[in-house]
Amino acid sequence: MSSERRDGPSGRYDRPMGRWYLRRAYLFRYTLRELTAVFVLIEALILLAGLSALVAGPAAWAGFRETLSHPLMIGLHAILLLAALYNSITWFLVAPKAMPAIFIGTRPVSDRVIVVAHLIVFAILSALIVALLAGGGA
Amino acid sequence: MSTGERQIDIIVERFDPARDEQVRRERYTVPYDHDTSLLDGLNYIKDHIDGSLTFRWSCRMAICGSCGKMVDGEPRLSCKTFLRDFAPGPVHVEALHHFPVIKDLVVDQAGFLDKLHDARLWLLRDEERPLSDGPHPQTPQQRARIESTSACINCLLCYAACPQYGLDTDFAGPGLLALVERYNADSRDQGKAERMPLINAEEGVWSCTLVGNCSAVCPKGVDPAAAINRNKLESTKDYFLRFLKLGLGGRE
Repeated sequence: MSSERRDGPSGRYDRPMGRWYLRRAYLFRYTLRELTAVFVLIEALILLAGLSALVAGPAAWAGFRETLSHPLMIGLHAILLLAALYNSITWFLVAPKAMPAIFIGTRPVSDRVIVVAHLIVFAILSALIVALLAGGGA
Repeated sequence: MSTGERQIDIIVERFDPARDEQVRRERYTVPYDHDTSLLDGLNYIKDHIDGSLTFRWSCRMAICGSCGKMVDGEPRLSCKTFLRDFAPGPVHVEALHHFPVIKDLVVDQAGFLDKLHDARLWLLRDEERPLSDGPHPQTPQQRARIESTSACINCLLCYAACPQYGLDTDFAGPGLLALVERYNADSRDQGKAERMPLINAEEGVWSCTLVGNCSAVCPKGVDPAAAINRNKLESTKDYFLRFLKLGLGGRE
């Protein structure tokens, strides 16, 4: 950027940005959305460990399952589930910003319709997976 | 301004470059009624209480884009903000965030204006159409594609709402990238390839982390967050297509 036109008065005030994420509720919600991605990563790593235990043989798999049934692991998973839900739902809320614009004739489809459609599909797929797992376990 | 019986306090963050190192707060009491805007209130202070209070304004009807301020921490046009909505007060007014304050409520806009100057935001053609060809018509469907982004008035509220711009003022920012999309999406424009380096740069769309507040504060219904994040897709396509071309023996 050209700098020759930045010749304002020497005395100017630059507002500091310290702790900007705590200044407004929306900034905090955004920061939380980004932070919960770490929890999703932890869950992915646990799944990966499970997969490698499955490959390693029945003894390793049994050991992995036993680790999972520990109360601390169940508590951790409750936290991971909440964080993953927050992460998923807040991302669905901004989905209209991240996808190509959809027009019906000259009218753009409203953000609200796109968000609700995403949330409905998310709920249906989640319910299907839970039903499938519950059926498989029985 | 019509003077009613009701009164409200306006707290203004002031800065005098000749003597201040920090902003300081001054409290003023102004009369207001149903149709008194914050801009009317500031003009009342300037006319009746302290003539040294400095702020930008012009049209009083949300089209010139010059009267943006932080009002109770949110970027708003002061002509489109009514004191009645802040009763009983006080209303806290600051200069737009993320720009250097020159005096009181006036910021140095160079961080945006320099980028706007460099971005070549007008209809670019491979070959100019001669006037004898007549108008260059658009269908209503083609016009709809640029309807929202055309409404930008360069008021910089979206920049004041964007923490990424506050953290790194090299970021092109929401307003500029929405304007880039306004021209790229225009059926009469052929300059998209020329604007891709600006979009592709780290200071382009990739500095956006989709906080989304730029779209929430826009007084004209522009959706910069959508314009930017749709261009992440365009930027990704551009990146891989260039590899494909190189692979097929083409040149960059």
